[in-house]
Amino acid sequence: MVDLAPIDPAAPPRANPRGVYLFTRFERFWHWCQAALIIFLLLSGFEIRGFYDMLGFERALDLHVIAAFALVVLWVLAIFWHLVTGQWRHYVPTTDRMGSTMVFYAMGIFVGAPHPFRPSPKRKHNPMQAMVYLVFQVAMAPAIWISGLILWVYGAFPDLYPGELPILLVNAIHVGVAFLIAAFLISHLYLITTGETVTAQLRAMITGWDKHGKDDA
Amino acid sequence: MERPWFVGLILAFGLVFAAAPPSAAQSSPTEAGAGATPAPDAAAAAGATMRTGRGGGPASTADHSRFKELAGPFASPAEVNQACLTCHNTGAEQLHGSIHYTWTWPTGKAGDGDAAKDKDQLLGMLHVANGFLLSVPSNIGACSSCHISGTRFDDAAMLDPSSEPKAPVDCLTCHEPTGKWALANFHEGGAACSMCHDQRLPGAVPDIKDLAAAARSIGPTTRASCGSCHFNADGGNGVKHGDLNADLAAPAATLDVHMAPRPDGRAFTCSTCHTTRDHVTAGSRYAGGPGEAPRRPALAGAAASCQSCHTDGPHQRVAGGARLDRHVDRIACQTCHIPEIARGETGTRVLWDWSTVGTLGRDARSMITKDRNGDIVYSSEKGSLMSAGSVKPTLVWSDGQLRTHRPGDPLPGPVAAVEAPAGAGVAGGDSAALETAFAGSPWISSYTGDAEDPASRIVPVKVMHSVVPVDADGGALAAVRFAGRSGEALWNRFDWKAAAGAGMKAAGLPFSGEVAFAKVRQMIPVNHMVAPAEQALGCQSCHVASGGLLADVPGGLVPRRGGMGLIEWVGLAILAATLAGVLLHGFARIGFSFFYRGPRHG
Repeated sequence: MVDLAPIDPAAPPRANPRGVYLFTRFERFWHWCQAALIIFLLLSGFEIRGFYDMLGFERALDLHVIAAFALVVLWVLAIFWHLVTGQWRHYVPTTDRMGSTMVFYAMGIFVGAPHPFRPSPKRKHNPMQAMVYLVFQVAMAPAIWISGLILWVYGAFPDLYPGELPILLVNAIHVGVAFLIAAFLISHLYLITTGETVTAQLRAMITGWDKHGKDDA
Repeated sequence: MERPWFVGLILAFGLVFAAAPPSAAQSSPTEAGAGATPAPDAAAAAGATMRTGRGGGPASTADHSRFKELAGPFASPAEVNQACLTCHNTGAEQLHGSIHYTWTWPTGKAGDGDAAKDKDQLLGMLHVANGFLLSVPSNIGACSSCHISGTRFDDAAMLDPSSEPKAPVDCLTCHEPTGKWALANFHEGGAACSMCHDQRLPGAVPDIKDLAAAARSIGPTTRASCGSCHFNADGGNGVKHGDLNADLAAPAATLDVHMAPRPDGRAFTCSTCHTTRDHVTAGSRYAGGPGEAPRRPALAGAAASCQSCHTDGPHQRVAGGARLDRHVDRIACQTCHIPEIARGETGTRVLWDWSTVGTLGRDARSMITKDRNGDIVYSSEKGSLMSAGSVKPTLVWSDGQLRTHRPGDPLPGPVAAVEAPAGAGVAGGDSAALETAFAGSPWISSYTGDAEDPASRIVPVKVMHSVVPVDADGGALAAVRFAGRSGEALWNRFDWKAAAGAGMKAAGLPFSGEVAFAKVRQMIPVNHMVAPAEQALGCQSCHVASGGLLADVPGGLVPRRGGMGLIEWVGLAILAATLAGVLLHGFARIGFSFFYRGPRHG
């Protein structure tokens, strides 16, 4: 099991007033590029699906494809970085304090209860967060990429497309997962505001420093 | 620490996607370049062949104007044909087996033993009914002024080349290059004026006096000679076919990029595409389908299809060409490349309401009424009419097979007796009102095919709206005698009972003696008036959130066509639930924050 540092209410005050350096420059670059690309992919994707008029079909489709491949390149870099630096460990699922975290978001958060988990460079995500990110990374993202790649091959390289694969099903998967990712985005944006202060987590993701994080040292 | 199982997964995906980028560029120039290279060569080769082999070019070693056999004088067209056949001694036999001669599909000499097929199975103009001049039986004398036999106009047996006397052929109808002979011949041949004209035109009828000069002028068929029949199909210039009318005799490239003169067009004649071997012409609405023989080159024999020259991957040189090529297995070329029909000066008929014939002018003679645009909206002999220009075709699934009806066939739906004349409600050129008025009316000719059938494509058709006479008892399509000397003829006394009685009798069909009228629709194929590429439909003609051309055409993967499926409803429900959840949670936090304050981590 991953060992999570227990909360120590009597921990001495931190030496560094900026808090803990939680998110490295690459992580922040990766996160924000990914955020921009995913938001653009959702917007252009739902236009391609026919929900509204924004860019026009052809441009929306062209840019959607370009953004998708940019995201793939970004992910290849990120996967490489996670493997090399060992940062993949943050996504290993754990049941440790999972229950208390869920109780916190369901009840404690309203009455000012302390969060059962404090991020640290060793463990940046709370157990619920880590679980959801893992689901995003191993289920949602691959599903939408693989279905998207198949759709792209269908359009760009018809000869390579296996004729017996029902394209309408692939398309349905692509659209369906897009809705799940949009739902993920909505809850993600909201949960950003549930930190120590409304903007604390946003600031941490921008500057890399978490004022309320726990120093492993 | 356990080895996490997902590392392997992530690694696998990483490898897959690391391999993807090299092929990622959407419009890879090498791909496009390689693909495009053969196309210009093929086009050039085809062009070269056409330049030398067709269109009256210098390919032939025979100059007919110098043949002493054609020096004349000729007393009759039959003598001309006899002169032709002294050299072209199999011409008549070849022609006898063609659909041009028998008006019957499948082809084969109709009188031959093997043609003892069930007559109910035969197609072709001789057998089927339509919503224009209805059907051939009892009108053979008037219809056959278009026939290429030349001399036996009133004899139904002329369509049967095996009958005695040995059926003649009329070479000049097709091979006199101006088409004037064919026109003159109709008028000589006893055609009823109303067959082709809604009103009697001022001026003399076309005439060719010097048969010898006509004989010496012969050559390959031209747009004008083919057009003398096909432009005037079913009652005048452009009436039946919105994509075939006299504007194509000398078209601008914007009207027909193939038939327009060089350099903007390619100066095609009809036979450039409708390749003809042994007098049998390729391309029939009864044969072939949009999904058939995609790569058969025209040079290998009869094949009137776009793919014959353009291949089934014609867009390589265009940006996003691979994506456009992706459409060809579901969308016929014509769908995008013939965005409108009747784009020239000539309109095409979209409504023919037979039920209103017979109202005469103040002089008690047949009359016509025109609307403000000068279009004829009423003719005593034809009823209420409506024509339209620049018509956007209707898009339907088609496997190329027409579901036709013939005289005597009951209509597929219940016959709605038309109380008020349908034309009255829609006159004034309102095509939307026309469509509404005919919504749900049965099709007397329609394509089979659907999205599930891999051989089907979405094709453009002209929808013809007609109000046609039927047997009041049972709703069988009536054959009607239009012209002739007898009082039975519709155009003599406007007596429907007598006219339908004569027609049904000629067709050998039972008839109750009472006539009713039914609204029917008919799909007319659209294959000509191919526009230059820049006029073709764009992505957004179909890929729009609402109002796209395919909004009402079911099936297929049409991104952005709009419409809500199960996935969309479930997806939106998930989004709404998520949004509601976070809003509820957020408001609760705000509410509680008035009572509980303090830092979260001490």
